[in-house]
Amino acid sequence: MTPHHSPTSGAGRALDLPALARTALYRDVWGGRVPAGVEDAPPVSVWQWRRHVHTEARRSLTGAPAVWVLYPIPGDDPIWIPLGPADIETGAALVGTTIAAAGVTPGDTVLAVAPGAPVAGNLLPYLLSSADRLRSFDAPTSVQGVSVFPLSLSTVGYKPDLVVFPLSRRPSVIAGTSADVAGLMELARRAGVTPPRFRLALLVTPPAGLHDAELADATANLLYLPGLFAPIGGRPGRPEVWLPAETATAELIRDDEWGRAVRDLSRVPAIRALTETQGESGELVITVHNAALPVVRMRTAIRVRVAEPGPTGAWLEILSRAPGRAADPVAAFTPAPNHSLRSGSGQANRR
Amino acid sequence: MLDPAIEAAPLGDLRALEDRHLGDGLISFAARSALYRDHWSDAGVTPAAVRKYEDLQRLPYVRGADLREAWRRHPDAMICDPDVRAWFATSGTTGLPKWTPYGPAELALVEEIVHRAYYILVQRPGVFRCTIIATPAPFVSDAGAFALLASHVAARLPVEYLIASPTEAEATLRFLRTRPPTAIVGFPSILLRIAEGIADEAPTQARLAWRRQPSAATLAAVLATKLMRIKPRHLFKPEVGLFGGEPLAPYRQALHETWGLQALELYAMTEYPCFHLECREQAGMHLWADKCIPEIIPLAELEREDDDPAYVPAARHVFDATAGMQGEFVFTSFGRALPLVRYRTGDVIEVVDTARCACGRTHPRIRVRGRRDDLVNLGLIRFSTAELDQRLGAISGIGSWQLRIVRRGYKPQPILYLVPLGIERPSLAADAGRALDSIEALKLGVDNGLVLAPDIKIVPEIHDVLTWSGKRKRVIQEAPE
Repeated sequence: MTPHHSPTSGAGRALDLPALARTALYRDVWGGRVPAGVEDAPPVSVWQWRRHVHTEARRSLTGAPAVWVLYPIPGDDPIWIPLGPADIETGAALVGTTIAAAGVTPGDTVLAVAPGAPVAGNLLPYLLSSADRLRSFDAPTSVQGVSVFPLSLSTVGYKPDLVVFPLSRRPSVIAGTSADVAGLMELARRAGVTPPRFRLALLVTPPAGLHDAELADATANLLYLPGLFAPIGGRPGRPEVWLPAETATAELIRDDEWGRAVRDLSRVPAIRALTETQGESGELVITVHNAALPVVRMRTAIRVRVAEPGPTGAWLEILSRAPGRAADPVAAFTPAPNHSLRSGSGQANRR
Repeated sequence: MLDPAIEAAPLGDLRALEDRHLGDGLISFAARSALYRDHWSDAGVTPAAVRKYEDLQRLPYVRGADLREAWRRHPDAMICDPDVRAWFATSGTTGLPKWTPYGPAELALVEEIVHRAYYILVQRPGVFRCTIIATPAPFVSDAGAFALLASHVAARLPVEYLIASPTEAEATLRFLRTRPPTAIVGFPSILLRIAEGIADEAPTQARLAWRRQPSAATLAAVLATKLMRIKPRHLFKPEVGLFGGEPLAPYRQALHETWGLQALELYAMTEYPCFHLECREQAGMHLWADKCIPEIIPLAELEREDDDPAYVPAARHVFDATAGMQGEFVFTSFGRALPLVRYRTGDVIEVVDTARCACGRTHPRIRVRGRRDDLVNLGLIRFSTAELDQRLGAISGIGSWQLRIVRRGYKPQPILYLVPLGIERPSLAADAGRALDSIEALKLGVDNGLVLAPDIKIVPEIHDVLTWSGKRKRVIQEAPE
């Protein structure tokens, strides 16, 4: 049995499809057969993932996990994904490039509004400042000299004066979800501090991080994808995020396909390569070659427009509004700032 | 043991190691900070001349209040090494929160200590699953989790982590049924509160599981919840727990009964990320003497200081303390971002022993006995006596008051005794209740089930309890802190 080698496998790891087909998760998803390649594999839904990984993980693991992370799924309950040591190192190696491209520079002081663990995004403050400590090798690029104030709304909401000292250090960058950032600014006002104007806002999407001229000179987006230890990111002033091909393989279920699948539940929606769908929108499907448990063609429930696909990666615009819907399905699940971390509510968008 | 050459080194070798730090210019380096400049200048200290422990003893102490004041007056002249990666805050129970800068050296220190902890916690080969219930940022326990990952990823130790905040307890506990932990790390009162939640929720969850998937197993679960109160040990069976943030003593037995684990204690503070921990012998927490210079100001010296605030109490090296000695813990750190030199922690420790432990480690063992400062200490929940006095002072008709902290089971309960001034107003107790309710920390503790609701008693007189030096105590811990 020859392992299948994908040209876009994360960190050069190959997917051993026959071995994966023996795991409880993929045996169920793939109907007991071994796909000829990733492009031949049926997609895995979050509920299939939950049914197997959340209840009997040991029958699906392909490597030893070092940590379990809870990934928010728009409009749905979050999912647990295991990451092995190599998966963590891969993420830590990439994060320096991501945040440098997003506009963070040496000497920046970052106010990072983070959710409580185990939600993906909890480690963002440390990844911003200290990703090198999570690697046993030197990454080609990392941002040195970044100093981070980690803050959580659940803590600052109880004690607003916690925000006074960080703001007195003249932070140049603020990071977090739009809701959390807005919540923190409100708490700062309550503590008697006028929120400063930042040089850069790193907004975790979805919902789409919209530029707020009062908040920052420029905005760049960050996106956590299920299975990635570190977020991917955009560039200041661009509404898209860049998904490097070396990080994950991305594909698309086009909007029209999504509609057909709703009308006919037995239909497996067609999944297209991004290069075939330039300018189109739909649900993002990703493959991440993690060692602990690869994520193979997972339907993320994240709706994107494929802006610029290419051999080294793709620019993806995160959409917050599905065409023809009366309400924004993503924003509808966005918690109010001071309710974003309630116990076990399972709401989406907790980054 | 991670490093027997250090962890089991004779005290003389550890003392030599400390002197080497001093000889290498620790104090000259620290003098870069405005925290020390004026203090040391006033005391006539020449930093370069401090090269061994005897020289260090001539340096003035610093306290938390000095830190706050120095940050306020010299915000841009405090840090000794500009490579600051992250900042963490204390909760600010004794005033404004204190923020502490961590650079690579501080992060590396946490990583090394968690590596030591691994060898204490893990007793047999195989996968070790560790669940950490950490407090959200800006408190340091999130960073501790990061350090755990960094340390164990680098060493490729077979540890599987699940790091959670109490705000995500429900999702975490549900998942732990699938991946039951070998070890739990957290705050004693929070873990016991979670245990209460599990017991309350278990019958409902069992019924739901039966409805979703009727089977012999789910039916047995429903019946079990009818026959007994479900405890975490019935579901998860962790072997060991590491607990910090508040003294473990009042909770140790309850943790054993509910979680079925051996509870070990750790002592840590945000100001210096070196946490000291109990080994499996449970004969006190090992004070890592290769990571700081530990001193103790004996109680008798503290009492003299209480009597005469101008008196400067003498500290002695913890190695030179006799077993059983109690006093305030003072340490000098080897940090780079902002080294703390002769930092008075306000924590009263007991030196359990300085002899080699049965585990083989030589680092002296201590217990934390309480706080020196004017705090109402309810474990994780703390507030200042001054705040209480201020709230009660705003109510007319109170002659004097006394607060006694008792425990019902493992939970603390404040009981406020009031002596009315003249004739008792009918609304006095209600007003006092509202005053207590307005103390945010106390309200948070009561609302979250960590502290029992305060009781208020109107009494004709109060039985005074005095300190050693004859001062009247207004806050009395009837149960261990």
